[in-house]
Amino acid sequence: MKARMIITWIILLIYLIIVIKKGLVEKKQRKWVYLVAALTVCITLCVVFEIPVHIAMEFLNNKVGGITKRMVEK
Amino acid sequence: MKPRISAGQFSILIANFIFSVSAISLPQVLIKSSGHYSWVLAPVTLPVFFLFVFIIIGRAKNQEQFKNIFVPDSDHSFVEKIFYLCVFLFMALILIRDLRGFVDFVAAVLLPNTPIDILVTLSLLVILYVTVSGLEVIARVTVIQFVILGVIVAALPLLLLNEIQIGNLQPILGMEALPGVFKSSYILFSWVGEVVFIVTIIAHVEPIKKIRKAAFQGIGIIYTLLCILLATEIGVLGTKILEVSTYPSHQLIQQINLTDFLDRLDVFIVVVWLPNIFTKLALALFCLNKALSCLVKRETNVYILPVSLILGHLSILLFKNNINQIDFSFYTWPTLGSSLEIILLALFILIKWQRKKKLQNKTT
Repeated sequence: MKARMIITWIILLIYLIIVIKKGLVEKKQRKWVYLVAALTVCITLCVVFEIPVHIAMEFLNNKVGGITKRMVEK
Repeated sequence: MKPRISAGQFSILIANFIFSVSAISLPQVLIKSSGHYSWVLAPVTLPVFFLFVFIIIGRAKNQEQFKNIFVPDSDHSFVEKIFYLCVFLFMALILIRDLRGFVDFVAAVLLPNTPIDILVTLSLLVILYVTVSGLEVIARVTVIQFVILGVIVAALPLLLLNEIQIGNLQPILGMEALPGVFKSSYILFSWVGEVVFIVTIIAHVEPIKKIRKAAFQGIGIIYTLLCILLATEIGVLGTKILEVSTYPSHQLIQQINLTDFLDRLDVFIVVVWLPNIFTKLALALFCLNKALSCLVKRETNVYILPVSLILGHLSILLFKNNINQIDFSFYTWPTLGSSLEIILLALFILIKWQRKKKLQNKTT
């Protein structure tokens, strides 16, 4: 397990405790806090299970970058 | 209380937002496309960006309406929500690209043994601290740092006078320059077009009547510095070296050879350069947070921490290596970025038109 995930989880836990305990958000807005926290956990899980997220960027580089390359290169 | 920045700070924020990161490696791809004519790019594309800014800001008498754009507490129309979503996506992409570019640069130049995970985490902490402090703090830090960077870049031709070879810049102009210059302009458009970010902070400028002049000044500063940097790089290093150099500006400052005991002046200049990149990233995060606040209809910094963590992780996960990031910045961003910029511009004009019509209906 990588150090950056442990750091992320600790920061996220402290964040959630502070936000909920201190009442920094109204009840209505709490769903957004949970949503972004869940998203962060999902991203860290991508690191744990070594999901190749970079494939998306490679696809973008091939397709969109290809357009630029055709226009720019000699 | 709403943060306020002066027109001068506004123009420096624009200049720093575009120049600080693009100076890292953008010259390489520009020189690859247009050779030693790259420095001509600046005067050729300058009018296009003056027009771009003019379209965003419009006439002086209509500038008061900007005070009501990007106000999180009010109700937003469907077009406005789409606009905020596009701003969020645009800023997120800029942050991911620049954070990774910056970290790779630091890892290559200053800290080769430090893992990029740690560099990203530490950078994020600094960026978060500056962002949470607010726009006024970002503006003040930017002004101090950018003035130093601007003076250094402006002094580069003097510092490198003994290394410049005029032959590298010749022939100075010719018809054969045109195709290359047009190709490079396409790449440059998306980078300088990031100036569209001003829509998020226009409401904070005081007095608002001076924003157009300030934006023009900001664009002018970027082009002056870019022109000096490109001309000096070509004059000193020549196009053959620059075409294969990953960090041409760093390579340029390594050539400064004033005296024997000042042989590592490049480290000092890079250290001056880094805070500019931090403030640029902090401003991008501020704009992103503003768009997010508008989407959730509440002015808040609560979501900024998890969002920045997500972006930090994505900046590592999305790019397999340094080459991947450079490929994205050089080739994917020109098409993707300029498309997003044009969409943002179109939506912004639509919102302005909607509001004007609403106001007219109210008065009649």
